[in-house]
Amino acid sequence: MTHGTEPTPVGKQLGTPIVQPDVDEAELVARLKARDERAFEEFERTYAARVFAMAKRICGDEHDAADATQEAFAGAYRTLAGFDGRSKLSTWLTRIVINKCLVKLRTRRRRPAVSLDELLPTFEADGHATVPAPHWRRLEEEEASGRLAELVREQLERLPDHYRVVLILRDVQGLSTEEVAHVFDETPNAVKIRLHRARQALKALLDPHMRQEKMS
Amino acid sequence: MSDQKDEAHQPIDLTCRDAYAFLQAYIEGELQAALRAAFDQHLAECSSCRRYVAQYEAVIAAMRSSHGVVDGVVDGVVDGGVDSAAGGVPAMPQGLLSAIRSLRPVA
Ligand SMILES: [Zn+2]
Repeated sequence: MTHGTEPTPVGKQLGTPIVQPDVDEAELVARLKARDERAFEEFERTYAARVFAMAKRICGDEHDAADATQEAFAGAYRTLAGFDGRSKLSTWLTRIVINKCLVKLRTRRRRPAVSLDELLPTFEADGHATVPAPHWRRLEEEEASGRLAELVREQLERLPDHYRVVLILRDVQGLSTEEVAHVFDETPNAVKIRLHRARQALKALLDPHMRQEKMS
Repeated sequence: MSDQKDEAHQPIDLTCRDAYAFLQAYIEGELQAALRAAFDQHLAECSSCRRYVAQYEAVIAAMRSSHGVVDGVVDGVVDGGVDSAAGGVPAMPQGLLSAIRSLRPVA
């Protein structure tokens, strides 16, 4: 939840999605543009495994993730000359690989996604929730046993891709709202709304599995 | 609702619908003080919303742990390799790195 606090003179501070802290990106970019062999080595060693890990989370499939990673680097190398440093190198690369992943997802949807509207909470005229939040089983136990994490992995797959991907980028990868907005070419506010809906829908999908058995 | 209230001195009354709408800003610490106080007040009085907030936060925490993220370290990937002690994800498939290498623009 901690975002970059340093002010940046040019453009927006776009944070650090897949970067490691000791990389001087500006210097690395300059060397890449100069086609310094060692810079390519450093670039690939720094980012390839991270890009692949992210692609695998989003694609869900190792082959698609490997393809997307390879295509992302191809795209990055092809457009490197045009990289203007307005966003961070890591954000730029993230944006490229996410778009490769989204193309892959579009061509192979594993199963029909749930309808989000049916999962979102509804309210009475007086503002009360139509259905009160159910009692879940003890969270500490479900967390400690790993059962909640398992359920989350499983139910996440049922969300429509553009909700699932926002959840992964924001809540797993830890990108800031601004970074996600940059990746999707959307406003930060649109991202916030989508993220909130996605979290609410995922919670609703977990409800039947987490509901406490009634003692009657 | 119909009576005239002195806004500066009346506490804000939130419904569950309001609480659900402000929830995201609440947990990210983006609510203004007055709204935050109203949110806390609603939680104090509404057990359903207390559960909802706790469950919403649990989902966020579980997202991270469900994908091998521990203490903000994604994947435990260190220096392009994988630190499996940190519960990392599988390393890259064989040949991927050399495939990427072959894509470098030639000097
Ligand atoms: Zn309530």
